[in-house]
Amino acid sequence: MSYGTNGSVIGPDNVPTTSVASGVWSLGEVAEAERDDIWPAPPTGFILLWGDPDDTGGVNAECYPYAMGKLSNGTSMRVGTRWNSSNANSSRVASGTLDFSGFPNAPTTMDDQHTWNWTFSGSTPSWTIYTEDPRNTYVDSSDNMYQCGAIYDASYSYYQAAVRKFNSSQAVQWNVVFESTAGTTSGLANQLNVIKTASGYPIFVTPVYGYNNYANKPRMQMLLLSDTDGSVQQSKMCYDSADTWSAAQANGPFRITNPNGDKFAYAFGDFVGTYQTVCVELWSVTSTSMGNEWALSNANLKNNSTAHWGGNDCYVYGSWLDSSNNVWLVVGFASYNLDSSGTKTNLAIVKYDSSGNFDSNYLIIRSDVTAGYDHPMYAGGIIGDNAGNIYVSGYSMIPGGSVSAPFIAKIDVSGATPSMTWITQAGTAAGNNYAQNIELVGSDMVVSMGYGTTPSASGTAVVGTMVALNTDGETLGSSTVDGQSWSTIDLSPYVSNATTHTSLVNQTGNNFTATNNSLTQAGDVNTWIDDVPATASTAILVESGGI
Amino acid sequence: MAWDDPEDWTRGDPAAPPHVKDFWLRPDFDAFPQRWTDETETEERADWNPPYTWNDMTGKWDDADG
Repeated sequence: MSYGTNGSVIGPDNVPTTSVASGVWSLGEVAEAERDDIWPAPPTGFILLWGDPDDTGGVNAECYPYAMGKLSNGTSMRVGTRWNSSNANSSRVASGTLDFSGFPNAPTTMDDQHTWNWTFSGSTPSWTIYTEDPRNTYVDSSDNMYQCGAIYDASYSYYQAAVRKFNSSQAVQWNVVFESTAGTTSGLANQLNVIKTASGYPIFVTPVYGYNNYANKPRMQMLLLSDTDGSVQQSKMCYDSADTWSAAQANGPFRITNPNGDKFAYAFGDFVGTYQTVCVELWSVTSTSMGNEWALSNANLKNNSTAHWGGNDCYVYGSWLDSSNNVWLVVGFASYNLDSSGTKTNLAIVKYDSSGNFDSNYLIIRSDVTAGYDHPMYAGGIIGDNAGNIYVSGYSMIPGGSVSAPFIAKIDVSGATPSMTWITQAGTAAGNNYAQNIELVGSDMVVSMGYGTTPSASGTAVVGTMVALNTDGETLGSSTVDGQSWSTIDLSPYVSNATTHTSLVNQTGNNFTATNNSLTQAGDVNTWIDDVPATASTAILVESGGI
Repeated sequence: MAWDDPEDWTRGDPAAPPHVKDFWLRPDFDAFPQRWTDETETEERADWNPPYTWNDMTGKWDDADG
C-alpha cells in the first residue's frame, strides 16, 4: 500500500525520519507528521553527487564533469567527465551510465564505467589530457559514444586533440589524433566539441592557434569525419574577417548544438578587438562537405549595454537547435542593476530563427537588488521540449549565503513573448556547486549537470553535481547528500525576468568568414590506455538524496 | 574571497567556477607584449616581436623561447 492513500502503512517503503508509532495512521496524522518533517513526503526529485567524495583514490582523485548524452532507451544517461582517478594516475577521460528510470528516486551507482588516456614515449607531462567542455561527449541514436580531449605532447610542445568512437558497450571503434600544420602554430586549444548528424557523419570542432600579425591566436577549425575510421572528409576554418589584426580571434566559449537531421548550429565567442561578441552559424552536412546556411557575418550578438566597465562583452554558455532549426542560446552579459546601483552579470535566453533573424523578444533573468538579492547570475546549459518550453541551467549565490548553487528555470516560449514559468535553486552551505549543462529525461524530469565541492576526509573533494527536478516546478524542499544538508527553493522572489530592454542587439556585416583548409594532420600517440570497467580503487562513486 | 571573481582563484584549481575557467582560456590582449607602434615599418616589426602564444596555464604570453 503506498503512502498517501487511506490506511497508509509505515514500512520499508515509507520510512519516517524519527521514531513514530507503528501501525495504521490516518491521513490527518500523516499530514501533521509531514508538516513537522517527521515523515517527509516521497521525493519529487533528487540531488546526486558522483566522483570520489571520500578520497578513496587519494586527494587528487577529482571529477570535473562536463557532458552528458541520453541513451536510446530515453531514461539512461551517458556521462562524460574529466577524471583524476588517483594521485598517481591523474587526468583521464571517463564515462559511465546513470539509470534514471526510477525517477524521482535517484540511481545509486554509475554503471558501465570506462576511463581512457594515452601514453607517449616522452616525459610524464605528455600523459596529460584535458577536457573541460560541456560538449566533449556525444551519444548517437544507436548508443555509440564519441569523446574528445586535448592531449599535451611534450615532444610537440603543444596540445593535440584526440577523438575516439566507442560502441554501445563502450568498446573502442577507432582513435584519431590531430595536430596543427600551420607554418607557425602553438597547437590546439582546450575547448573541444563533437557531435554526429543524422546522416551519420561526426563533426569535430576545435580552436587552432595560428600565426598572424605577430600573435598566435585561436581560430575555429571544423572537421567532418568518417564514421568508419575517423578519417577527415573535409576540413574548414572560420576566422575573423579582421584576422590581420593581432587581437581579432575566435576565443570561446565554443558551444556546438545538438544535431537536427543533417543540420547543426555553432555559437562561439569572437573578440573583435575591443569587445567580445557571440557568432552564431547554422550548418548543413553531406557525406563530404559542410555548408553554412546563413551568411556567416550576419548573426553576431553584442552586449549593447553602455553600463559596464567590461564594455560590450557577451558570452555564450549553452546552445540548442530545435526541430524547426531555430537556434536558442543562453548567454551571459553585464549591465546595470535594476536600481542602477552598480553592474552585474545576467543571463539571457535568445533566439535566432532558421533564417538567421534575431528575435528581439528575448528574455533576461537577473538578480533583483530591490528584493535584497544582489548577486551575479551565470548561465549554464539550454534545452527545449519542442512543445513551447525552454529550460536553462545556471548558478548563482544562495540567498543570504556565501556559496554558489545551481538553478534551473523553465521558460514558456509558446507565444511571441517568452516568460519565466518557474526557477528553482538547489544548494548547500557546505560548498560551491555549479551547473554547466541541462537535459530532459523521460516525460517529467529535467536535470542540470556540473560540478562542485563536498567535504572529504582530507578537506574538500571536487565532484560531479546533478540536480534532478520534476518539470512541473514543484520539486522544493530539503535533502541530505553525503552527510550535507541541501535546500531546494523557489528563486523567483529574488530575480527579475523581463523582455523590455535593449541590452542585446544583433550586428551584421562584419566578423566571420570560412574557408576550406588542411590545417590539421594526424598527430602522434603511442599507446592508448583503456580501463573497462574502472578498477575498484578508481571507480566513480555516487551519493544522492531525495528532495 | 569572492567566489565569482577570476582574480580570487589560482589558475588550475579544479574547484573554480566554469566562467572562471573560461576566462583563463581566453588570451588577454590587454597584456599582449606588443612593442612596436603604428609608425614602425612593417618589415621591422617581425624583428621586434616573436610570435607570442597565450599560455592558459600561466596566464602569460610566451615567446618562441617560452
